[in-house]
Amino acid sequence: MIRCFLLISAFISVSVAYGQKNISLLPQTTGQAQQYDVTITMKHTTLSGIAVVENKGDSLTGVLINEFGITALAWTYDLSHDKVRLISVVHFIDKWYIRKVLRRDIRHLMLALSIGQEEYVNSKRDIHYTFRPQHII
Amino acid sequence: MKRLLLLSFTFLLCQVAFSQSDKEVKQNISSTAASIQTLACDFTQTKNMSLLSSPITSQGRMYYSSGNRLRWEYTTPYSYVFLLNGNRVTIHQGSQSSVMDIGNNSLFGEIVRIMGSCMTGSCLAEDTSFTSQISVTSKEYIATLTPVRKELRSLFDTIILHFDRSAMMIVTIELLESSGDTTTINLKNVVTNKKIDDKMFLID
Repeated sequence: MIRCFLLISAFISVSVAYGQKNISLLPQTTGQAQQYDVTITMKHTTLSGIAVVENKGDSLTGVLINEFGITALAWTYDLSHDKVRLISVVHFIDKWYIRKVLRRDIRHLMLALSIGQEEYVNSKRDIHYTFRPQHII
Repeated sequence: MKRLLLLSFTFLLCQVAFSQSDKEVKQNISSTAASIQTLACDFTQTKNMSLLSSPITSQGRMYYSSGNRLRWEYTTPYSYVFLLNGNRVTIHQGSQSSVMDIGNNSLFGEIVRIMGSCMTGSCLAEDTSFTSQISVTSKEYIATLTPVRKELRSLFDTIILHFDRSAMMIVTIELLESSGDTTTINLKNVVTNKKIDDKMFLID
């Protein structure tokens, strides 16, 4: 009886954990937009603010703005080609080598969000991305 | 020839008169700003972006105190607090919070300083950061600020400040980016020089 109970509890915990991981944190339908609280921590600096990701059907458009509304980053993620294009990058991080890292990391971040993970860490560059979902617009 | 001289003289006189009134308005706003020790108000922030189909609107409350202290608190549609005290910043997002030192991030510090000085209007006196132009309507003085430095120009193409003529207080801030995106911050229920509890600026 105890064994049976333990087995059922274990199954329920695994199912809950598995289920949680698979709830996408990205907007699912065309025209829908999801808002996130964002922190990006790098070696010498931290970017914080709000991000909005909008589902455009065949792509996702994302914008990161700081607390006062200044656009820090804008991108599109092509769903069918699994490819990120940076539209704008704030002046002080707009360098070709940073753009390269950002493109790669945002792709990973989109994939992480699609399986319910709020965080992505680029361990090679020591960059921590946290996108905490707030509400659907 | 006389006519031409007279015309030129009249034109010059008009120019001088106009620039004096421009200067006067700036002085009035700056002296009001200098008298502000604390400021608290409600705000509505609307961000319009060409990339997104709908604007992002949020509301909250702002507290400012001289000595580089600013509390920017969003209440709707989510809870988020940005808190500046000296060189330190804390961000509270729900149950989580993070602290950072903006001494390492000079541009971020600059943005925060500009926002604080725009709130009071003291940025009009900061001739080194912006060039400014004043226009007048029946209800408002409108100051158009253009950043001088390249780094700032990459963030703001123009900042437009709207001041209520009777109270000499700021009512709207418009941030225009070179991409065409705009952020409008409307201030309501502005209260100045009323003591704000130090706890409001407390960094953990």
